[in-house]
Amino acid sequence: MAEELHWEESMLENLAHAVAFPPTPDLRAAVLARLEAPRPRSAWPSAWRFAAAGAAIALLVLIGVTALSRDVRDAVAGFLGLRVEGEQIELLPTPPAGTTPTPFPTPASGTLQFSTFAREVSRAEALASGVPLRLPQSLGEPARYWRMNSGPGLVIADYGDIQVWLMRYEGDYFIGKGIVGGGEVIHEVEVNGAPGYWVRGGERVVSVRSASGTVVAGTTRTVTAAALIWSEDGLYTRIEGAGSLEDALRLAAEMD
Amino acid sequence: MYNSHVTPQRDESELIAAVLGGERAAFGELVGRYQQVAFRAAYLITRDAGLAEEAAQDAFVRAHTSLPSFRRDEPFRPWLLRIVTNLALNQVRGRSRRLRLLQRAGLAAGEQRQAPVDDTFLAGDRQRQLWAAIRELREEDRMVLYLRYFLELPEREIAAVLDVAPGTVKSRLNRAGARLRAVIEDRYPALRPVAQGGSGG
Repeated sequence: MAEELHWEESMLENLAHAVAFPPTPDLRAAVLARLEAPRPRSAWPSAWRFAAAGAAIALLVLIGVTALSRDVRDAVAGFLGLRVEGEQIELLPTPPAGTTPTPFPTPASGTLQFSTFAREVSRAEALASGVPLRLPQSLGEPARYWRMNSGPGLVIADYGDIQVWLMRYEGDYFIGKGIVGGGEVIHEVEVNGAPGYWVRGGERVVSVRSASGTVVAGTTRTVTAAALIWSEDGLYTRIEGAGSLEDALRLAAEMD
Repeated sequence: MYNSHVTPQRDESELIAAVLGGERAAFGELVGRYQQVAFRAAYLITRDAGLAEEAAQDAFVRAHTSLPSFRRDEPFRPWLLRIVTNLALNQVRGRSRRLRLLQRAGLAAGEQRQAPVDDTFLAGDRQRQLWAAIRELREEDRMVLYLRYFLELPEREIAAVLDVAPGTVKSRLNRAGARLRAVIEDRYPALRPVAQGGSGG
């Protein structure tokens, strides 16, 4: 009789076993990155943030585009995100000698590195995303296009060794970069008349994040390739994999 | 280079002690241990993988911050799930508010974070109907069913997640079951099992 009264229980058990949950994302890297690099900016009044950012950038200008010391970069990095829309660079603490390194994802390569958050699409589908396909003319047609599955309007033109990221910057998503490896150099540069960065060396943990700092599923990857980053007319652009700053700037100049 | 070499056999209390002692990698191990249940709990509530990941990720960050206040004689999982479910419920409420505002402004199509259709979640039509019936229940009823049947938590952990006395869980389950039966009888009668000895339809 009790079984007759509670027939919903077996239905619920069957249903629970039939549920196909999406694959569980590996949250360790994202959580640890957030713990290691808390974002103190929100605690600052915006006027102070901009004043401090101005001072930091002035300091950078004084120093020029030579390699910066870790201390200087520590002081400056928290504010660099104000300079290029859609980019935030944080310096993650270097683990003390003898401690276990943070288990960030190992470097991915080839086509696999984007498949966790984007799908390969045709040029027409890439165009349909609404992201202007401003690409370097001398590289010809990309081997493939990637379009982000969810989150911001983001297209990656993949040339093999070089990738061009194009993201419509609307303030809701940005590219967060944690620099962990040491040995990296951040250059302040001008790209097509807009402020930008040239980052090379070291290992950077790069992810797409929402405005609240939450990492978008599957976007965290370790990047070792040099990157030229800038923003023009609301279009965040990064060229990954160019051999030198000069090459990257030349490619950027070809984009219209 | 970045592979973790944390000793795998440490139990929960040892890991928590290590985290409180400043060993960040130990928290990574806790995350690895509980990320699936955290993500699934959030997914059941939000029905959106992106939102579920946000909620689970935020919950771990919040748990780390609150760990000094965690009672070490209690299990970690239900404490974590209480944080996860609260955050996920807040997300759903926030999404509902945004959607209502957009609808009021005639812009509902602009909302990008609507819950996906059930097709990818459940294969069969009867299953989808049963899921729809569950979704018609009150939040309190849904929660206890999720924890009991979909996450398979024991009653004492369900009590800890819901912050109620252990004896209350049984009565909540009974009540939720009765309400689910009522919804099925009323809205989805085809789901009702055919009584033994009946015509069988």
